[in-house]
Amino acid sequence: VRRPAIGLLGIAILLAMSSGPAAAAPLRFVDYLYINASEGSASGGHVALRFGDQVFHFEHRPPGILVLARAHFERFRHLYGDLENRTIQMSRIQVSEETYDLLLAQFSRRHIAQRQRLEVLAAVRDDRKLLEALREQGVVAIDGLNLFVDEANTAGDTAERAPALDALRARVVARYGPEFIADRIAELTARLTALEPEGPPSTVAADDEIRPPSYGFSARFNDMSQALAALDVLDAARRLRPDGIRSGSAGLPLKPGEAARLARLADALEDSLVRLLDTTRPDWGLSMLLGMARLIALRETVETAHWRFLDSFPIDATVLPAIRTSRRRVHLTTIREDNRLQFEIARKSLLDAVDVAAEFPEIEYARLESAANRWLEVSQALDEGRPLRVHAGVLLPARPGRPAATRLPSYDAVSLTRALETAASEEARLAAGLERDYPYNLVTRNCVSEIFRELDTALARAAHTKNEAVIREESIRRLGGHVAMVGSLNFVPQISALVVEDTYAVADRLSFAAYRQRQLAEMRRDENPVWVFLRESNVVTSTLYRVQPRDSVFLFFTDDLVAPRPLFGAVNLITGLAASAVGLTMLPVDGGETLWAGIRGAVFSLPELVFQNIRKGSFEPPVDP
Amino acid sequence: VTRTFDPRRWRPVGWLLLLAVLLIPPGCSLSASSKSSSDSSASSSGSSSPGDTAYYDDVRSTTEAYAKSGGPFDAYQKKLGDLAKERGVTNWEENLGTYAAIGEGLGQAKASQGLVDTFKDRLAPPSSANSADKQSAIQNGFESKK
Repeated sequence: VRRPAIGLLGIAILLAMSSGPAAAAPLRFVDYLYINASEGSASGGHVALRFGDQVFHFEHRPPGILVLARAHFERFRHLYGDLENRTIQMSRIQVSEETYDLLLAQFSRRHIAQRQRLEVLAAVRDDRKLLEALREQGVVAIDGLNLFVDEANTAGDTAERAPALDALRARVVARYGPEFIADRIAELTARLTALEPEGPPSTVAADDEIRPPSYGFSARFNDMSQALAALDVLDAARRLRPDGIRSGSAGLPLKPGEAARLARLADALEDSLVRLLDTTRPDWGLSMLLGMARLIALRETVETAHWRFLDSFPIDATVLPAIRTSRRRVHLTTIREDNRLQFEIARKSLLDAVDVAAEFPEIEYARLESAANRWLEVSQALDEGRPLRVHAGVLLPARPGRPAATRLPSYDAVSLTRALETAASEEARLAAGLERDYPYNLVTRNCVSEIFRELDTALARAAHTKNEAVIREESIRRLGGHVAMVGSLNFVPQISALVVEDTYAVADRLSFAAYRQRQLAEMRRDENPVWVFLRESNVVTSTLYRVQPRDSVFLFFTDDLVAPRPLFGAVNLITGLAASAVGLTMLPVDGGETLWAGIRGAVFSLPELVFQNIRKGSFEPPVDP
Repeated sequence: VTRTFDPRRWRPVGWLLLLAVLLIPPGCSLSASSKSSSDSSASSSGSSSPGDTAYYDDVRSTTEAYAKSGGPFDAYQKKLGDLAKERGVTNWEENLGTYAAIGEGLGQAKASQGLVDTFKDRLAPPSSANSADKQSAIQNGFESKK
């Protein structure tokens, strides 16, 4: 009995060994993401491809082009799963390491190549705007300059000079010599004057060709002007503008022991700024301006024993009127508490970094500055009834200001006009090229079709062919199947997700529930489910949902219910129609906002009558999970 | 007369509803940047944070692209500065993580050791502060991805 068993075991081991190379080959997953439908721009859903923590997806951007965006998965999930309350379904396609690298390289290449073309267009647009500004002297703005008072306010008056910058200036003179600042100003002025406004026309690259980086007229002009402005500020030791700094209405006192560590931090920043003047990088001006402003704020923090931060909100930040914040007091109070916690976390992180870092820990400082700004902004909106500034992007204190007229070179008028004409025609040519090469079309060029087009391009590259049959075979070999777009309904995101499931070697499936679904599940665990259903089923009594300006008018949520969906949909339809009628009467007052929300409410109720759900409602989770 | 439910009478209504569903365009998402600002943007945790990992991704991919395309070195330095600024960092030269990401980008581009040495000399010359650490970060990043 034993021998046959041992023999079978031996055969099994041999079989396992014989399949060793294939089994041992490392396997990876490329994940196809389907984000279910939502009202508005994504009523057919959306799709994306995930490689590890990177997500690639095609976005429809003005003026009607498809742009390959790259995002971190957590950020992507937060945007679609939390804010837009949509469920993300993930089909995990098992591939070899080599195929994974091949596909990732293709999407990365396309992303970089397209981004470069968008950047070239943006640079030419900047050139055109700068040239227009230069023709009307005095309207050129330099980022970071408006953090400081004007030149006239400091000239010759020692009491008006910033002690922190006087000390920095002394260090610079000691390190580089007494003529250093004047020499650098003269050198930069000469280079700025010698700049040629009219650059060579850019060449439009092929679809996924990566081009050398460009550094055009307006970018060089701005960098040299920022450097000149920084040297002027340093030379005159200008103070910060009073409205450019914030410390909270009641002040934020330092804790015991913090002052000494912040003094060390300021010293490290001062050292760093001295070194910065020796850099070879051409764009050091903004870094110097911001560093000097932060140095003043830090020295004043130590001196007053209260935190002082630069106002980091950009001048184009969205401003929510006070009346809106008062209506949303509870929600904003939660955000304020979250922001305070983030401030405390960033504060500890910065002070820990001071103890270990030899150089100025800019990232930790910037995080604290950003957290303080958001916390103080919400606090002042709540406590003082001020309008609330919001900005989803990174906060960087860089208020633009106008340089002195003497710092603006006077280029030849004829040359400026000729350069302006060239830039304008170049801008039009590049914009047309983007629209030609990356067009959006609902059926033939959308977020689905482009993903499969890129997959086919990668496979064609690997197989060194453009033969469709060979590409198909390559796809079957590497992905387990091939998804064709022509003559099919695969362009519809939801259908494409089903086709991927059926076609590719999908080894696993995951689902990331939408925000409301997750919250309801938690509530049902802690409370009576019937009560949760009654309370949360509608927008009036829901504790999770607050009416959002971007949502249509509706009464009942139907995303988590199937059986009563037609009934709830009928009520939603009536609600939408009623809101439309009210909106008609309010047309002169609100410019059609209510009417449009009502019409959309009625339209998105129609699918609910036939058991379909599109509308989910959008949310504002107070804390990022 | 007894009235009974006759599905055939409702068929035209069903078709109309189906048509309404189909007429709603199966469009893709608009870009995130085009979505309206809201209160969530007031939250620290709901907004972009300086120096997040996306910064290093950008440095990696930009370096990889530059290693393949070539071009003026000051344009590459300028590009690094722009990326850093977008992520809330201005003095990227004193951030060791940037050098590691540059090395990784060179590794991804399958650059030669000669090119890596050129990057080390130009970005972290021996006379610059913390030169050894910066050069080492570039080399280690390169080794990890080549």
